[in-house]
Amino acid sequence: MTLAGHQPSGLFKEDFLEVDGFRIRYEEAGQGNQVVLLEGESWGLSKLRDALSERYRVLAIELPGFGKSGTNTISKSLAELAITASKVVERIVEGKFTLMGTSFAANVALWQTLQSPEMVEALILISPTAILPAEILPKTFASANGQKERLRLLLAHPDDLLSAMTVDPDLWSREQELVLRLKGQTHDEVAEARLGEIKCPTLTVFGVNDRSVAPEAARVYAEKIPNSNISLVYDAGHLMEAERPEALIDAVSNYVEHRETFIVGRGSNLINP
Amino acid sequence: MKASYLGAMGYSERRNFPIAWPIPPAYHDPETSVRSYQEGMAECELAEEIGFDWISFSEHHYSGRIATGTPVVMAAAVAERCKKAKIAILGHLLPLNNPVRVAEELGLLDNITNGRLIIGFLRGTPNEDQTYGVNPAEGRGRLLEGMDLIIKALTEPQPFSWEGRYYQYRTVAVWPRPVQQPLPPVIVATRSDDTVKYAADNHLGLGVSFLPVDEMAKITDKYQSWCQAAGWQPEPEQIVYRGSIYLSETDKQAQDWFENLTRSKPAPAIAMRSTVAGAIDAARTGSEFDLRNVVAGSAQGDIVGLSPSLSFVGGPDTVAKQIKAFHDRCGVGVVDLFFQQPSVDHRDVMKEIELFGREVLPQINEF
Repeated sequence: MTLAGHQPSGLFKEDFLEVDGFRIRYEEAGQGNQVVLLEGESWGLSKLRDALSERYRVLAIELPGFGKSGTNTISKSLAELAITASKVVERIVEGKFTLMGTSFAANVALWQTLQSPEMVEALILISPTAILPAEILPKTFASANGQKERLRLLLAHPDDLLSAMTVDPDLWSREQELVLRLKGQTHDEVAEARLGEIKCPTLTVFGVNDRSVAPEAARVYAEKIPNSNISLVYDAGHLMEAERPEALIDAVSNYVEHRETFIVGRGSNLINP
Repeated sequence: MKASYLGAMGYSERRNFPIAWPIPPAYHDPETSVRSYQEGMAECELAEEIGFDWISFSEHHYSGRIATGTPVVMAAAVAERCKKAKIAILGHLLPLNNPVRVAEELGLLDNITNGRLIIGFLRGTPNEDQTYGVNPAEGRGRLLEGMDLIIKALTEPQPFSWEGRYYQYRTVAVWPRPVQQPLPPVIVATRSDDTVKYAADNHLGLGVSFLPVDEMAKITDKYQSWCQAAGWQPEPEQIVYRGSIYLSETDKQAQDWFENLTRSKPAPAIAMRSTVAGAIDAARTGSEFDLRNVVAGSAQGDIVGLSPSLSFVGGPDTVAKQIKAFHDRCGVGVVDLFFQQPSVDHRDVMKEIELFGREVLPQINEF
C-alpha cells in the first residue's frame, strides 16, 4: 500500500534508469557516506531519508511495481527483484554502501545482501517481514480483512494517525498483489537458512507494538547474523517512521555512522561544567 | 483468599517525627534504627509462621514511617529468613528508577528466592516525584514506558537496544533471567484508567491501595470488563488490595483505640508545605501554579497531607467481614495489610499478627 500524495522531497533530485525491462526511478541527495534506501511501499513518508540526506549521500531507489513505477509482472521472486536492485546500484554507486529498506523492501535488501555481499558495507532492516516464525506470529497482516483493518495493524495508535493518512486504493491493490505474488508476507525459509552468511554489520529495527510482525522475530536475526544488533522502538507499530520518526532516525543514523559501535554512549550528562 | 504482610520496617520512634516530608535524617539514631529493622524482620517471620502467604515491600523515600527506599535490599534480607512466603515488591516506583536496573534487581531477587517473587509497578505518591527530581508531568509516561521496558528486559533472550520516549539504552541484556518463566506474576498498582487498562491489555494483575470498598469496586469493575475485552479472566491472586489494619481482641477495644487516635489529632501522612504540594499537583495535571498568588499563613497551617485512614478496624470477626467485602464486591484474592499504625509499637504489632493468624486468617482462607 502506498499513500496518495507522496511527493519527492525538494532536497532530492529525481532520475531514471532502464534496467531489466523496467524504467526505474531513483532520487539522490546529500554528500558523504553512501546510503542506499530501497523503497517499496512508501507510505508517503520521507522523514528518514530527508534526515539521512543531511549527513550522507542518499540514493532512494523505487522498486519496480511500487509507487509511480507501474505494475511489475516481470519479477518472479524476491531474489530476482534484488538482482534488479543490485544492477541499479552498480550504475549509480561507486564502492560500498549502507543498504536499508522498510518492510517488504527490507526483505529485498536482505536478498540483495545475500546475493551481492561484496557491495554492502552495512545492512539495516526496518520492520522486515522475511522471518515469521509460526510460534511467535501474532494475528498476521495477511489475514486481516480489508484495507482499513490492515492499515490499523500497521500502527500502534491508529486512531491518532489514520484520519491524517489518505489511502490510494488502486495503488494499494496493485502493490499488495505484487507483495503477495513475491511471497513478501510469507516466512522465507531460504533466507532464514542463509542469515549466517551475512558478514556485514546488520541492524534490525522493530516497533515494540508491531502487530503485523511480532517484534520477537528480531531475535532470529540476532541469533543467526554474526555481527548484528536488535533495536526496539517504543510506542510504535510497523510504521515507525510515521509514529516515532525521531527515534527511528536517531537509531538508524547512529548505526550508519558508527555501525556496531553505536552501542557506545557518546552523549554527555554533564549538567554544570 | 490469601493474606500478605506489608514489611514496612517503620522506625520504632516514628511517633517523635516532625510533621513534615522529608523527615530530616537528624532524627535517625543508629541504635534505634538497627533495632527497628530487626523488629520489622521478626514481624515478617511471625507473619509467615502464622500463615501469611505473601510478605510485601514497598518503595518509599526520605521517611522512617515506611523505611524501605530500596525495597529489594529489604526483601532479600527477609527472604533469607522466610523461606516459604512469596516475596512481593509492591512495588517499585518506576518513574523514579532506571528500568533496566529494576529489571536486574527483579531477576536477581527471583533467583535468590527460587521463584517466589511477585512484581509490582506503580507511579508513587506526589511527594515521591521529588525524591530524584523527576518532573511530575512526566510520571505517567515514564511509568508506562518503564513497564514495557522491564517486561521486555526480563523476557527477551537476545541483547537489544531500546529507543524510548524517556529511556534510551543501546545494550540491554538482563542477567539473571527470572526463575519463573516466562515472567513472575506482575501487579500494576494504580487507580488511573490508562494504567488499569494497560494491566488488562497485557494480562497483568491489579493492585489498589487504601480506597473504601465502593471506590475500589469502580476500578475493579472497569478492570474486569477490560480483561474480558482482552480475552482473559484474572485469577483471584491477580487482584490485590492494600489496606491499613488495627486488630484487637474485641470490637470495643479496637474502637477505643481508634477514638483515642482520632482525639490525638494525628499528623497527616506525607505532610508537605501547601505551596510544594500545590506545585506538584499542578505539574502532574498540567495546570498553572502561580506562587505569587498564595497568601502564606502560619508555618503550621501551611502543612497539608493525607488524612490517616484505616481500612480494617475491629475484633477478629469484624475485620474478617470487612475483608470479605473486598473479596465479594471487588474480587480481591490477596489482601496486603499494613499493621504498623501510629502509636502501635512492635510488641503490639506482634500481638496483632498472632491474633490475625489465630482468628482472622482461618476465616478469610475459607473464601
